[in-house]
Amino acid sequence: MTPDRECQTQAPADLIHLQEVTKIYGRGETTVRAVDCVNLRVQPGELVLILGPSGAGKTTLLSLIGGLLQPTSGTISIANTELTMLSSTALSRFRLRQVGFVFQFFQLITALTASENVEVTLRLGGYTAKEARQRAKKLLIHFGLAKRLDHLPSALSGGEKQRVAVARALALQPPLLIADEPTGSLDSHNGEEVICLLRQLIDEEQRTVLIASHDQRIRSVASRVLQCEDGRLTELTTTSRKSN
Amino acid sequence: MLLLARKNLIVHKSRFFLAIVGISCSVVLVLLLMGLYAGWRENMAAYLRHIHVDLWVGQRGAYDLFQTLSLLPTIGEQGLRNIAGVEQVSSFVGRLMTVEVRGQQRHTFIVGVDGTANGPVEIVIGRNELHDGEIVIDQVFARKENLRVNDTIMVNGETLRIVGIARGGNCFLYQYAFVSLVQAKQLFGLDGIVNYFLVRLSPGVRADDVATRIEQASPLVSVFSKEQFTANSLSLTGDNFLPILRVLEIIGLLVGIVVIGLTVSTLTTERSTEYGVLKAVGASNRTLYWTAVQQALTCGLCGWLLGVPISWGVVFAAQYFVPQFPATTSLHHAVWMLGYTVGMSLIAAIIPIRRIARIDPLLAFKG
Repeated sequence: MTPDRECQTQAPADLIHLQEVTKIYGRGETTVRAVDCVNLRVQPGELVLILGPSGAGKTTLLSLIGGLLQPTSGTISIANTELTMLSSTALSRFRLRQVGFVFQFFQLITALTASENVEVTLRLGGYTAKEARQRAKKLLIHFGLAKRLDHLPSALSGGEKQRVAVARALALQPPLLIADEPTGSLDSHNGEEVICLLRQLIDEEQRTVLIASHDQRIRSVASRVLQCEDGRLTELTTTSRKSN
Repeated sequence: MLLLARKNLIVHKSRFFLAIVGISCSVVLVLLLMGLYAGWRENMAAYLRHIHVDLWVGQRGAYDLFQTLSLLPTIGEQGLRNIAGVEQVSSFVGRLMTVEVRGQQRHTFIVGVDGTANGPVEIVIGRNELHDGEIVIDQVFARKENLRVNDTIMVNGETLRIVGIARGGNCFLYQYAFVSLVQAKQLFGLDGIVNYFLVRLSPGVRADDVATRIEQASPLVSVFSKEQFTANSLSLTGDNFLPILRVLEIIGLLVGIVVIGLTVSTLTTERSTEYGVLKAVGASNRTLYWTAVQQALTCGLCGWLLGVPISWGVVFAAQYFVPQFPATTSLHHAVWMLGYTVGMSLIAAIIPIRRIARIDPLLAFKG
């Protein structure tokens, strides 16, 4: 167990490197330190689970790592790109290529079919309409949604929606997947399906996954478990489960 | 992103349809106004352009057919014939008169026809040759008053028989009617007086030179080219009517902007979270702004596509029920309206674009 303030052994090729990152909201009496002097290194292929109660700073931390927020102080480096130096346009491009997001409430575009939801990301990434359609179809079939390609989100189960969301997040093959409570809106069965999917991502694709969740089932697939409390991180477990 | 723009727009079909109807009303209004103005000018100018004349000679200070009065002695005609470059001189006698049709009083601009110089544009029924006691009326007047050839109307106590119905004489407020020159002078009480002289020039002669000679010969006259006299006569619409039409056109365009802006803004607000998600996954602001622009353009163009044929139908129906309605339809106006519609759409897109700029991508993490 390694507290966050101690220096960690410098790994040769960290995908994620946070150094003394702090995020403060408000001023004076209403100041909130959502993230407080966090140091973190994550290697490629790790699945890092961040546990913590509501309001602990998990979502803020994920937002900082995902390039959705800029820290008040400290530096964030993802895949050798220092986020704190990027403009908002550059951050958008960074998120598109380097990060895939999976949200608790799926956040699919309701007017688009399952396939079109994935195609949107691919079109943003420069694919032609035909290429996007083909790749989206391939991804969704891989995730067991062959018969749901042309269904609107309203016609999908919770598990199916989350699988579409994962397909969307992985469409451009980003090195990092960030998931905020991916099983939070799912029943037990669908939650298991998503956890299996995450396991598959680690085992077969060596993808780096960062998950914020209360779901204890995810511990079984996590390489590392961190506890987030009052904006600070504490390492709970480093398992032997790493990507091969 | 066109797919997203289109699909979000039509997800509520009834709302989209209502928006299109609203925009098409704006298109119809503006096209009607454009057509009304163009038709008015075209109709008022049709007869003046038809008259066989190179120069209009009138009393000094008079400059058009409708707003100013010109009175010249007929003896001046010989003096004009003597001026170098003048090939032919005709008389023009015309004024707005009250006529009686089946006991009802109506107004028409009666012209005394002198030879072939200033007869009607085209006879559609009956004959062009006029004798005393005869009159040719415009087809719009005929339809309005349900008159036919051989019917009679009364002018200044004189009963005149309709011998022909012509086209090209509709000035909206009144129409032209034609009688013989002698008859016109008798009706107007103009003995030895004309309103204008119509001058035809010899081939190869410059109009400006002859005009100068005429004015030098008689300081009591003003001389105008055909184009200038026509423009002067149309200035009534230009100076008084056009500003009103322009204001109404602007109101029509503003209505279109508001309808498009409200439709796309409402859509943007309803889809705020989805826009936030798109920002989170890496869509640039510019891409999302373009989505709003595409939605605005789609609304505008659909409204244009619906509004153009409706406006043509309205003009057709209006002319059937109100014969003197002078509006015209043209592809030229439709193309202008397309340009206006694109402009309306782009301006309307500013409101949703501002909303999109303020959307926080962190909305994606919320329920």
